[in-house]
Amino acid sequence: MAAMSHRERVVKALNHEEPDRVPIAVDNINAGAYINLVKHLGVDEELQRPELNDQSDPSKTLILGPTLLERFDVDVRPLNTRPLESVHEQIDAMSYRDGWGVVWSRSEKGPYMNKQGPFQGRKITLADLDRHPWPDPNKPGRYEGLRERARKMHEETDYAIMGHVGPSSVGPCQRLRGFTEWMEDLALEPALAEGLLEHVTEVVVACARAILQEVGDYLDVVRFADDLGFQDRAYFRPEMFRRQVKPYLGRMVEAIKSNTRAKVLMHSDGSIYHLLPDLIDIGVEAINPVQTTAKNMEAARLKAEFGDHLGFWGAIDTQHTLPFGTPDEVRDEVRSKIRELGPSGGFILGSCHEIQREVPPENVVAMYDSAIEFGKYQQTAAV
Amino acid sequence: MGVTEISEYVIVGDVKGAGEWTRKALGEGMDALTIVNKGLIPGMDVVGEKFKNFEYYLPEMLISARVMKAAMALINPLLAGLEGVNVGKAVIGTVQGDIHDIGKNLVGMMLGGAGFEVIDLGTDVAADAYLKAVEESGAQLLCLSALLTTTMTEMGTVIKLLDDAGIKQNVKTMVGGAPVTQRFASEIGADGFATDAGSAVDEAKTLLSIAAS
Repeated sequence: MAAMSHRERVVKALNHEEPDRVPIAVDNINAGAYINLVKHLGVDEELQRPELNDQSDPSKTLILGPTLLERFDVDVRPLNTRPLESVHEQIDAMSYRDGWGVVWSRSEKGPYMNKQGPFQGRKITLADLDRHPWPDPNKPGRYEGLRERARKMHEETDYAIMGHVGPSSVGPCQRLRGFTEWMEDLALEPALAEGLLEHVTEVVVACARAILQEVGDYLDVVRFADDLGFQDRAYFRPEMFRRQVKPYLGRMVEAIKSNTRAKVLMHSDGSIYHLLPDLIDIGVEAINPVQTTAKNMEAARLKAEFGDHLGFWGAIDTQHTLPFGTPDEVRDEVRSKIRELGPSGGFILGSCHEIQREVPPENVVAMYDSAIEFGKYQQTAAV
Repeated sequence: MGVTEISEYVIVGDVKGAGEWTRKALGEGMDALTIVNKGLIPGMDVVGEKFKNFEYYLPEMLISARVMKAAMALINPLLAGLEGVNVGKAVIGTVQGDIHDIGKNLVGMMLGGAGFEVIDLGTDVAADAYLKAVEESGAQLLCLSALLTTTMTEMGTVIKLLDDAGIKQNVKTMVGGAPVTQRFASEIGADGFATDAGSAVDEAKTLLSIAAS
């Protein structure tokens, strides 16, 4: 019997069938952790990567290089496009303006970037929103070369191709209006909140549509991102989410589904258990990164209640085990997640956030190696 | 007019209604401190409970805080003039590298409501700015907030700076924020620690030996 290809493995899992083993996702890894990993494994050629030339940003991430991706038998490869959140205009060494008009700036000591939006910290009107220079995702040349890149990946490799189509509506609203301001608008000035949602959704939907019209037929999974929760709860009451936010996310999923047969993967950090029925309702087919240490997000519970409808992409604890555990504890974590999420397929294993700076290289190796070791499905015997 | 009416405005997050009520109540001679202690703070206590019980999420919490802030803006000028009301000065801020401020803002509001003069330095504040503010204002209390494990270590830096400058014994330091624990607070030499805005006021009063209201 021919060995299963990487792509078949992922597609089967997403179709809720058991492949030969649990597929392995392609995760982002902090550049510092990555350098430690490369040195630990003696794979010096991976230190030559251009992404490592500028090491001034401690929060910089990248994916593993080709040697390590093969060493760990990672099944997925990303197809990236230049997001609207990237540099549109460099302001100075520490800050830039993005395509939306949001200013991103790095603090001297902090690991994250601060954002300042054009509608933040002041009173605004619907007319202000109409007047804003919204980015045009259909600008000529934006996707030059993308289709050819996707075609090559699809035809010349056997990896599952994951296309990133960007954020859906919540993230850009928060960055443009201010995190707290937009939350307050939802409660106090719903017309304003929804006016912003409308403008933002038009852009993100157009972006997804434009990307997928180029490459939709070459992708196996399409990922969009929108953080909807914290450690212990979603940002909003489920009833508020359903009434005021869900329809806009629904338009994003609809735009994706009308332009590709690939499965729809939604990224959201945090405790989103109470929102899952609504995400399933709008057509989300798998969730990432599956932060199981967030409240109500225990793996066994998610599988039992939503495993028929949702695939789980990620799940290996990166708040405690990966950074602070021993390699044996990492192996135990992998084994138990496979046991809880693996049956009947629907599980693609990865870390539940980017692999952070503190994660020791031994733990990265333990995660990937034990994923292979414990991930085999019994083909004939009962699991 | 009953003072508990303002509690309701806080709980439902009615900024407009709260403003109108507060103006009317003050105009009719209701005591400002009574409005704070018997009206606003009990209202925020209920909001805090509803948040703990997963009835309120972030939008509800934020608009209640807006009501508190709006009412306090009308009341603060009256409190400042009252003798014996000013229980002390507190410098507060979020540490360098960290921009989280919701918790810090709530603590500031609660301290203000409890009679403190609050000097809020904002977020991403460098250690020497805290030193300068404490020296210049003569504040008896310094409150530091951080939400990230990577930035909370800055709290130790600030406290050490106060110590090196020889003024640590003149100011009580208090720390808080999601990753902060009593153990961490003790390790860095903080005088106090609190898990939420309500307990922060109690802790502040304890540290400064002020009787609880």
